Amino acid sequence: MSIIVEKPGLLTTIQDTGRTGYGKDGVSITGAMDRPAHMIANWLVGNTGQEPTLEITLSGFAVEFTADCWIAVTGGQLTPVVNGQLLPMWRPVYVRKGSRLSFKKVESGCRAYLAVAGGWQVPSVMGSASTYLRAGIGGQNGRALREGDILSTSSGQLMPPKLSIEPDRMISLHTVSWQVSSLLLPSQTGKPVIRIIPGREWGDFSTASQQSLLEENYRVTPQSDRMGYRLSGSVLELKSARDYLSEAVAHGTIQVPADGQPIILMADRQTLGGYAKIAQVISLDLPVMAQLAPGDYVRFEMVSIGEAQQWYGTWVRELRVLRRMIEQKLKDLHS
Amino acid sequence: MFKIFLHKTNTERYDHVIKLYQELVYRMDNGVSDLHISATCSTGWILIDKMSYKVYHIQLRTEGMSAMEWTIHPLGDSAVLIEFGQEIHGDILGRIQTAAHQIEQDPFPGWIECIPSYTTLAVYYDLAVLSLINRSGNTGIYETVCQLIEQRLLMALTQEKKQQTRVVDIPVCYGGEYGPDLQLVADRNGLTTDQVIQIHASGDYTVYAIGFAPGFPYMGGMSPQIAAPRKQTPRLTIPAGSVGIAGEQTGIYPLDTPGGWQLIGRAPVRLFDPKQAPPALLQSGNKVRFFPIPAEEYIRLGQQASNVRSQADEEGGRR
Repeated sequence: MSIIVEKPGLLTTIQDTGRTGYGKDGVSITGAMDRPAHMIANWLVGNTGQEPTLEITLSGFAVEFTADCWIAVTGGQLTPVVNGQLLPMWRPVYVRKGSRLSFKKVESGCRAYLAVAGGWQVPSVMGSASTYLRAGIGGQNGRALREGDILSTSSGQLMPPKLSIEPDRMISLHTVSWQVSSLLLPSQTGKPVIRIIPGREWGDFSTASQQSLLEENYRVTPQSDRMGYRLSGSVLELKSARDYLSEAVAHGTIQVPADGQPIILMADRQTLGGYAKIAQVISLDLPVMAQLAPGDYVRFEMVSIGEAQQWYGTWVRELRVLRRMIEQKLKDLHS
Repeated sequence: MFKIFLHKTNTERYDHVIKLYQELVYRMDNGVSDLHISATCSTGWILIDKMSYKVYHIQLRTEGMSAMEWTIHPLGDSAVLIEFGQEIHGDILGRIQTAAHQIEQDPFPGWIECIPSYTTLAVYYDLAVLSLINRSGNTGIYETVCQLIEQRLLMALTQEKKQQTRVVDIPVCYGGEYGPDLQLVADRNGLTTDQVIQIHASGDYTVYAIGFAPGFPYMGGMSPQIAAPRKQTPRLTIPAGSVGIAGEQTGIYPLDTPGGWQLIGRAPVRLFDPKQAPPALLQSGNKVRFFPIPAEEYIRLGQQASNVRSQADEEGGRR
């Protein structure tokens, strides 16, 4: 099975859970910005979660399917449509050969994930299929998808559904009666409150700046991308200007360059940074961050590292239950 | 062999430690095996042979006699930064290397990777894995991770043997089309271009960290005699292999990127190659030396390097 890219949209890349283990070589982790959406999309089509998916940004992406296959779309609500019919998100969908899938308009969120049973077949570079745009490696020849690209799939575990109606050209998709509850997913609308813990240089910032970060809205600027979200709002200032030696940063590090406008480091971040780190977004809220688009507003709330880790633990257990339930439901499809 | 970690409260005064030490020896001599082991802090430890109960080694980190100082800070909820000092120094770099090596050789459950830099070592961990392991514990995950790391840092202290320093010699074709800013660097410092080349190529450089781009070395050791500020307007493309100067730093561009460094030459080597293990030519802790080569040699070596590249592209395309 394969797909043909008709329109690449704003930015569509192949991503998995990232290229770890090479940080000391200066290699960015990359990987899906919204990890849970990527994992769940995979689970919904009977994959393990490690397979690559397509990360689709905002609008404009369109593909044609060359064979019948199971797919799932998760993440931001970017209005996926198959042959004019709205495609239900967060559930397995069987699309027919010759169908055309396109993403029409942004309802909420910023990034959608398209998984196919078996996963997209791309060579693994240094242990990952993730596209690393800056170094030009991974994914589709190290670049974003282009018009005319053909992507093949590896063979999947999920068998074709028993269709009550014989193959009919009018039916372009077949789906199930259940879906992943939105209650399980991080909020994707409104002005999200992003929880943070203090960064290593939190104490180097003026009290007024600390207050600004916790009390005021910050806007996501158009200069935001997979490397980082550049925010604009009240200027954040150090008590006294000083230089910091470059050291390792992490996903969600909020660093403040000389202009006082914070940058939140995301999936394609460089491994080292030389700016003061005022705070750090907790792991649980990184997917929320990943779904913010330019123009959105965000607020921050300080929590403790203990709370952040405890909540994450609870959520990991919920995800495990979800995965088991999806596996059971997929088994039921064929019994 | 097992270790007894000394609790901070016990090591606040040196004579308390001596007392504790004597007590341990006494108890072991009398065959007491159910010793209380406290693994909570980094102030000292005693290494004991499990078979003979003989004290094998004692190391105390009380004030004024510390072998290796560190502080652990959280870097978010999924990583920590271990700080070994506050200034750029070869000793600190050595400690970071030793610590990273120890953790990599004896990884704890959920460990992902280590990233060294000038004065710190970042240790990344998988919060999902540690959440499942740490489920019943009363200790938080961060505290658990700190303990796991401290145990390894203490172990690293016993590794007296120094790792051998790797020296990498890099050929550079200075000046001409490869080093368009060589004259500028010379003029700025009141030197001839030959003098700049001579000074640059006679330096011993230390790689403190790899970052900014894959394989890019942050190096120290350049003579201030050839320092030059960055370009006011950065170039849009700097070819891979370019050797540049920015302030008192020198570096090599591993990929074609925009940049503001003053370019004095180009090296026909690949600093980053995904097909190699490790993919970066240089590693933190390495020493680097440059030696000048003529343009013909650059072209010859450059062709070798690009042959490797086109072969790799073919392989990539076949899959």
